[in-house]
Amino acid sequence: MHSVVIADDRDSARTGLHLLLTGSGAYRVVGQAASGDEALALAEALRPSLVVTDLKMPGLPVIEAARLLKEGCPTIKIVILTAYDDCEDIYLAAGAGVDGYLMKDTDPEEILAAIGQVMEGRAFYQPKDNAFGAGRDTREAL
Amino acid sequence: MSVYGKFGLYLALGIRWTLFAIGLLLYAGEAEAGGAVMIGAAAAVHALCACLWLYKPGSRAAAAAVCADLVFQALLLDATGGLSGPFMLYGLSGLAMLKPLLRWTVFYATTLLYAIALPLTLALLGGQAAGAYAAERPVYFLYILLFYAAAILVHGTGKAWNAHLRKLTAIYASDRPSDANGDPWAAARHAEGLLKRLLGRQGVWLCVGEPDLRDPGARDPDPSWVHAYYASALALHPPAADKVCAQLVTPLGETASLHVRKLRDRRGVEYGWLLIEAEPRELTVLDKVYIRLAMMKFEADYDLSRRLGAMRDRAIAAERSAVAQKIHDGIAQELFFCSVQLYQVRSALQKDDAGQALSLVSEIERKVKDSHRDIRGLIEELKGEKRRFNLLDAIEKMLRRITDRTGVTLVFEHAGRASQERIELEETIYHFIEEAANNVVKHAEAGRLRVRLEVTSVQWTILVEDDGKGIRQDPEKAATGKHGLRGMASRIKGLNGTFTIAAGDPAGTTIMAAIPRERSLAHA
Repeated sequence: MHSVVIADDRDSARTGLHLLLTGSGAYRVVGQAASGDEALALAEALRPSLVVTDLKMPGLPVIEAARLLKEGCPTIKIVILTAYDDCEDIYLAAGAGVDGYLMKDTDPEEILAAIGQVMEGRAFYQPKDNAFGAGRDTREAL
Repeated sequence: MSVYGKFGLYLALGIRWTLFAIGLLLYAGEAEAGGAVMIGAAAAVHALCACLWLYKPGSRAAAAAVCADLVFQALLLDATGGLSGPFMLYGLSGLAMLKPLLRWTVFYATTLLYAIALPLTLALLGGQAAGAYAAERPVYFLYILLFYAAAILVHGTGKAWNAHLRKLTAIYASDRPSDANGDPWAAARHAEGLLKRLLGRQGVWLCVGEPDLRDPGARDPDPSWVHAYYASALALHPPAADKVCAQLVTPLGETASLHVRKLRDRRGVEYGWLLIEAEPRELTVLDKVYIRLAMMKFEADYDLSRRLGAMRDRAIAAERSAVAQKIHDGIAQELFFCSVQLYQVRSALQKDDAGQALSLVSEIERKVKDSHRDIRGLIEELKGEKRRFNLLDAIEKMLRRITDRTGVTLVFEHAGRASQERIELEETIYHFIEEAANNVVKHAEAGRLRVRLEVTSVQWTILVEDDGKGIRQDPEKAATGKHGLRGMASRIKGLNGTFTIAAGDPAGTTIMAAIPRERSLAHA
């Protein structure tokens, strides 16, 4: 059974994640955090197998916290579960060494499947559609 | 500074020539020989002075001419009878020409010195004692008094005129505060402040809450308790006329004299009161003009604020109604369905019918997922944008951020389709373009940045070119790390890609990278 730290500044989100992960039978929640600093401190202290965290929380930016955690404990898997769909964040997270990046409106089964894939050592990132229309140009005179 | 162009100058010159002519007539009546040369000389200097003032007013030559004129006037007075002579008034009038050259305080000091020095000089030229000379000519002191009375009158009128103009400008320039858009109370407080400044008194209250007290749907009236007190007092005991000066009890229990005006909007509907603390007949005609002008401006602002507020309220109500309707038609129906299904589940569980319960739970789960999808759609609709979640949008956003306010013109071109790609490859492309674009903005002194991103079933091709100072001297050095591209180049090579950097044609730098796609994803 994998040990997990959950980080989200919203109580309801932490409760939902707790239910989902423990309900699957494969995960054991060992700690919960409500800010970036708290998540980093808890993960460094408890050394869980997995950290599931929100992207925008008070305190230390989560991507920076993930970078620091990966530097200190590279074996800990990190999955970001976010409601923000800013397309740049996913590449910043990838640059910081985050293993998984998912939107919160993903189906629960898909979330569990994605986390399972991450625990097997394969990264999982929110599917994107790089549909570049031929001839679609952006020309901006500043 | 003149108000009506050269009117003041023409007036002063006209008066001086008139006084000169009067002096000449009086002097001719006395018919004493010997002064004619000096009269001619003084007239010539006077004419020269007038010409200089007409053509080059305020110039150094004109100032010098005024000084020469004053000296010749003293000499003229000496030759034509002194301080009691016929040219005395003309002589003093020359002092008025000093005013355009001096500030009022300096003018008063200078003219006073001249007025003291003149009898001393004339007494000296006549070989008399100064005291005896002045005592024989008391009329001189009368002339001096008249001169200063006239100067003080002009000075005071000018100051009052300037103050009046400043107040009119303040009324004209009093813009509606930005936070008053749609808020009539903020517009009222702004007008109240303006009236306090114009009238120079703190006791001004603009109570504009009454119509809304009668309208149950409107927002709360004035938040200030003093305004609320006066509005209630006047509603209970309205004054006999629209404009009165009345003795009212203040909120502190004292009696005060107040000018009270009933306010009516453009349709003639009453909407409040203006109260100004002032004794009867204390307000001047000008004060009343300022009040009228300020209130005209306020009424326009107030009317606009009310209309904007009403439009905003209608827009908010319409938006809320639309959102409520969507929730009612979609999510609320789904939740109702779920509650019915849950009721049935409970009934099935009571009957130990696990098969039916499972079927009902599956149906509820499907409905909840549908509701979740609907809510997501509603959120996107309320945010006014669809989710844009791909490499292209991330790069476009990043390039705009980097080139924003740098003077660099961005051209971003893209072609091809890749519905799936490895995250490490996308991330390498994103950071490669970020690094290259940052180099262009920080080091290249370029006016234009062109980024082209193309994907085929075989590879990704990235082209970054600029028209900056270029790397002609040492392209090899640039490629190996001068501008931090070395790390990116090694990452591209790690993905079996190629990386080249070259001098642009005719100027600038061109960076090109090609990264092969994974065979399994190539046709995705």
